[in-house]
Order: sequence, then C-alpha cells, then structure tokens
Amino acid sequence: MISVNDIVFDYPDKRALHGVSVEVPQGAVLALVGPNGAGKSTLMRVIAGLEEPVAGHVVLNGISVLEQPRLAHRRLGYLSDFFGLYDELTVRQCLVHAASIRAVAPGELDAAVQRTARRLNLQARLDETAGSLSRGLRQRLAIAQAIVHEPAVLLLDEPAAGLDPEARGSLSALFRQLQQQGMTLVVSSHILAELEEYSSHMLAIRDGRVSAFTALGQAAQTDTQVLRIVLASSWLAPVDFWAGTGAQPCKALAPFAPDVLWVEMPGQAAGAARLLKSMVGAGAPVCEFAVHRESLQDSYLRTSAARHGSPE
Amino acid sequence: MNNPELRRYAWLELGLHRLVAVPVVLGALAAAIMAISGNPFAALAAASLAVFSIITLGWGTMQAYASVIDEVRDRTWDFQRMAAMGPHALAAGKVLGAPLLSWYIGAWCLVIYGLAGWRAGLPHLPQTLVGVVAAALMAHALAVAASALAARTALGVRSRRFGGVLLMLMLLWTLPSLMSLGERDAAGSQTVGWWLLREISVAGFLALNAVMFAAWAGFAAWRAMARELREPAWWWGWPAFAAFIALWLLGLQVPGLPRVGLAEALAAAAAVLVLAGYLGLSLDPVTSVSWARLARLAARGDSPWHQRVPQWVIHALAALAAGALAALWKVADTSLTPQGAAAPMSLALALMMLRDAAIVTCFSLTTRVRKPIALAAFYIAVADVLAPLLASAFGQDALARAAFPFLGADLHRFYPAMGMAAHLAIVLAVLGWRLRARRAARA
Repeated sequence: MISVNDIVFDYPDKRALHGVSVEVPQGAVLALVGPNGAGKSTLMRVIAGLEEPVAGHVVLNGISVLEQPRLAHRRLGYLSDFFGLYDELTVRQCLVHAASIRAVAPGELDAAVQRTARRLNLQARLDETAGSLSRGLRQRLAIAQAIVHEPAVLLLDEPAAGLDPEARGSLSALFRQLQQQGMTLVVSSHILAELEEYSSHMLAIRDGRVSAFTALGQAAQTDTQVLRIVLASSWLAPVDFWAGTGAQPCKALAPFAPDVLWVEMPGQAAGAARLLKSMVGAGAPVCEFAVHRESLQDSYLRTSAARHGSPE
Repeated sequence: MNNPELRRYAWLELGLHRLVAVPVVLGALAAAIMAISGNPFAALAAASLAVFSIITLGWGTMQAYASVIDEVRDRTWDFQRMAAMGPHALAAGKVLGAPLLSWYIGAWCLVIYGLAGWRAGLPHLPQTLVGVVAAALMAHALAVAASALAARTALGVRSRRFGGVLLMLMLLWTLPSLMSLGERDAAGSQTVGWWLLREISVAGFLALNAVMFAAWAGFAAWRAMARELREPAWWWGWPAFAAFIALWLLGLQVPGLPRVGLAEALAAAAAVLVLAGYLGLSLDPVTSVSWARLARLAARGDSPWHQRVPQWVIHALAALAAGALAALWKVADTSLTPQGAAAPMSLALALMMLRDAAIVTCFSLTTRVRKPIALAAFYIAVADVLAPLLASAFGQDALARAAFPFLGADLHRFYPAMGMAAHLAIVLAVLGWRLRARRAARA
C-alpha cells in the first residue's frame, strides 16, 4: 500500500534521511517513532509529496508520489505537526473547502462534511469560526480536513498534541474505526502508550536511519511466548533446569529487576503450565506468572537498546 | 462557483455587510462630488477612475502579493499544495480571489465611470474601460506570481506589505505618462502603428497592450503555481515571451521616432532571456536534489529533453543565440550610438549570465553551505565591483577592465563579450575540476 524505497533526503547542510525503506501493508497503522530530529516529519513530508528526496521513491497504491503528485493527493490525507487553519472561515466552510480542493464531487460535499463532523464530534461547531475554537477543537478540525475526502492513506504528525485525555481517547477510537474501514495510517507521536492502542506496526527512526520495523502484537501467532515471572525472593535455578524445560531466559530483558525473570517458552499455554509446574517443583518462590505482550514502548526501547548496546 | 479557491475568497471577502456598505458609501461620495463640482459628470468620471486605480489596482495588487506569502506564514500553504486542483484553477482562484473585495469596489467604480464618462462625452471610453480592467488583472497576476516565488524566502516574507506597496507605486508611477498619452491622442495629435494596425489611437493601443500583457501575466501566475504544485511547466514560456517582445518592438511605429531594427529587437529578446535565466537560477539552482531529479528523468527514458535540463540553461542558451544573432547582424556597424551598442552588449550579458550560473553551480554542488546563491552573489560582487574598483584606484585600468569587461567607452565593440567569454571559460574549468574532485572523493 505504502512503499517507501531507499529515500535519501538532504537539507542544505545536513543529510536528514539515509536510504529509508519501508513497506506498509493496506489497513495497517504504522507508528512512526524516534527521538526529536530523527527525521520523522521529513519522512512524512516526503511521503506526502511535499518534499522531493535526493534519491528513492514513494508509491501509494501503485501511484508514484514523485511522478503523479496530483493523483496521489486525491488518495492522501496529511496533518502536519504545525498546521494552520483559515481562522475567518466557519468549521463548515473549512470542511467544504477541504473537500472541494480534494476533488469531492459537488453533490457529495454536504454528506462528506456531515459525516466528517460526526466522526470528529464537531456537529455542534459547524457554524463557529475556526479562529474561535479551542486548541483541542482546532486539532480536531485539522484532522477532519485531512480525512474529509476519505483518503486511502492518512499521515498524521503528532495528531494528539494539545488534546485532553478525553479527546485523545476519542481520537484513538477514530483511528481504529478508520483502520477497520481499510484506511492505512501513519502516525507519529512521542506518546508511545497512545500509539499502542491502535498501531499494528512500528517504524523506529534514529538519525535518519531505520532502526527497527516490526509488526506489533504478533507474538501470539508464533509458538513461543515471553513469560514474566516474579519471584518472592532470590532463587538459583538448578543446573540444566532451563534446558530441561525447553525455556530460554531473555538476556535482553533480564537486567531490569533481579527478582523478575523473563523467559521465552515454546508450547503456548501448555508450555507455560509445564514451566510453572517445573519451577514450583524446583522450589522457585513464584508469586506472579504472566504471559508478556510486548508494548510499543518495550519494542522501541528494546530496539533502541540493541542498537546502542545497552537498555535505556 | 466551480473554483474552490475563488469561493473561499468570496466567503472571506464578500460578507453581506460589505456587499451593502460599498455601494452606499460610493453612492454618497458620488452625490457629494456631483453636488460640489461645476462639471459634475467629468468630475465624477475622473474620481471613479481614481478610486478604481487606488483600490483595485493599488490595494488589490497588495492583496494579491500577500496571498501566497500569507498562506506560507499561516501554515496553510501545504494544505493547498496537496490539493487535487491543477495549477490553472489555483492560479485563477488566487488572481481573481485575493483582490476580490477590491474588484467589487472597482466594479461599482467602473459602472459609475462608464455612465458619467458617457454623459460627459469622454473620448475612448470603451478602450479606457478595457485598458484599466486589463491593467489591474495584469498587476494582480504578476503580484500572485511574485508572491509564490517570494514566499519561501525570508526577504519575501518580510516584504509582504513593502513588496505590495512597491509594486503599487511602480504602477501608479506609470499612470500619469499613460494618461498623458491618452490626452494627446484625444486632441487628435498622435496615433501609433503596430504591424497591420497602421493608425491606431494611443488609447486603443494602450488597451490592446494591457490585454496582451495581462495574458502574459496570467501565464506567469500559472507557471508559478505549477512550480508550487510540482507540475511540469511549459519550457517555452520565457522564450515565447522574449520572441513576443522582439516582435512587439519590430512592429511598433511611433511618429517621429526611428523604427526598431532586427538587431535591437533580438538584443531585447536576449535581455528578456537573461532576466529569465537569472530568475530561474535563483529559484532553481543546480543542487543535489535537482541533479537527482534530472538524472531520474533521464533514466526514465520517456521524458522529453527539456525536462532533463534546468530551465535556466534553456533560457541562457537561447539568450546566447539571440545575442549572437544580434551581434552578427551588427558586426559591420561601428557606430557609437546606444542602439549600436545593444547587440554586442546583449551577447556579453548572456555570457555573464552563464558565468554566474557556473559560479552558483560550483557553490551549490560542491559545497554544503546553507545559502549557496548568497555566497556566490557575494563573490560575484567582489569580482565585479571590488576588484575593478581597487585596480582603478591603483591606476591599473587594464586590470580593471579584465576584471569587469563592461568598463570603458567602446561598449558597441565586442570587448565585453570576449572578456565575459574568457571569464566563463575560467569558471567552467574550475567547476569541472571541483566536480572531478568531488567524484573522486565519493569514489
């Protein structure tokens, strides 16, 4: 759906992206994460066709953004991190204008505006001017403008900045709804817990290079799962205990706390039950035993730690 | 309304209050003028034309100049750039929409001018109406084009108001001379000829020119929007405009003045192309990005030749060809008249443009400075101004002329062109050496 191939982007005095490549499947929600200055916004602008790379190309649904920007923009919605609104226009006029310039047919304008206002909970504000809205409502209007033409791909740079927790919650619900309708989303945010709620993939960027690209929440699909075992007190496993059970302690996660064990165990639920039984049998003071689902934050920190040789 | 951008401006500019207030205020002004003037209809016509000039031509131009700059400042321009609209729709929306309120006021003024002028028996009323409308459209289109080109520069943003005022003052400055031509014509003392139009009134000629140049200005606005939307713009725009200027000069017959010869017309075309070259060079210098774009187009194989080279190269080469033709035409002419100097000068200017382009390319391709054009301009100024000044101060006139070949009295000869050709050869040699060094460093 989104194919980013070997993008190199230069600012006059600095290379911002060094051969970034990623394939985002249709219907995915890609969390774009990385520290400030990593190149996230630049990558978004390149995908949106607003910046021209030195090398590489971006293809959206078979349309090259570089070669056919007008056509690509009909299928694309973009919210930049520093967006502007036409403050003197009403919310309704803003949405009608956004829909019109993105080739929504004149006969469908009103329906598109009503549908989008409903999604963003802006129905009651349609006749208020954009300049009179609060920061959170302005953010919602900007997102509404980006999706009013029902794009196949939506790029959102820090979409939740300035929103209160309630608005963030409804934003997450909106993104899940858009994803269910087949829209592909690329969302950049510093708030990883928030991305966690709706992201299916993670692209971590550091210094303009891809440091990780992973599908999230897929551990359950494999035979092996990660178990988090909390001990009431110290326990030294007998020699060859782990090999005998088929479990494998996770070294990357081990140093966080001495009385917490992280173990990769094959065999799904039956494997976990077998391991618990063996540990209790071997005298381990197990007080918590749970299957660990890797969060986006864990994933990001793990890849970041792997890249730098130590956990952050 | 089919054009979304025009509709947006209509929402912004034409509120009910304004729609009602404008005719009321103008009506009150008209009544006051008619009450106090001894020649009421003539005074009313003059006043309405003056209000049109100030509001539609002047203020409207300022509004048009601020149009894109304001959008970049307010961070709404990216939103517009991602529109599915083509450059023609966006350009039309900006040119007609940004000064929409000034056009609403101006339309009332023109109605008053038409009625009052007819009652006062003013000559050339239709020509004047066509001329002022076309002049305002031309100014607005040029202002929108300038706004799009200036919007990404710090100077452009800073000149948001100042640039519009400057453009307005330039236009108002030309107004008295144009009006005096009209007055002379009204007395029946002067007509001009232009190609097949043997005897056309000055007012008619001015109106015709306003329409033609408004069309060119509209084309410029379209090209500026095409650039913003990253759509390919017709490469032949500037060469066609240069050819138009040459033909315009060749066809002009003003009583009492000699006709413009082919060499001078070609020299004028070359000067237009040099201007286009400098403009293109400042907007789209050869950088690693544009180099990559050209390489990508060349690798694709099916792209036309003119997309594989920067447009300023086409303009520079066309200027060189026009300047060379003009110079060849004048090769036997050794007169010291300014007209005689125009042809070899145009060749020298074309060579200077190529030299400066090579210097800018040298800085933008082989260094990583943030503003290669500014740095190149600094060194060009040092070479062309400071070096000859120092040489002259120390009595080294020959050295001064070598540094800046335009110095000296015999500009009609080919010395400046030869000097600039030598400069160009030196800069090209340096550029080639720098590019080879860069390639070797990368390898």
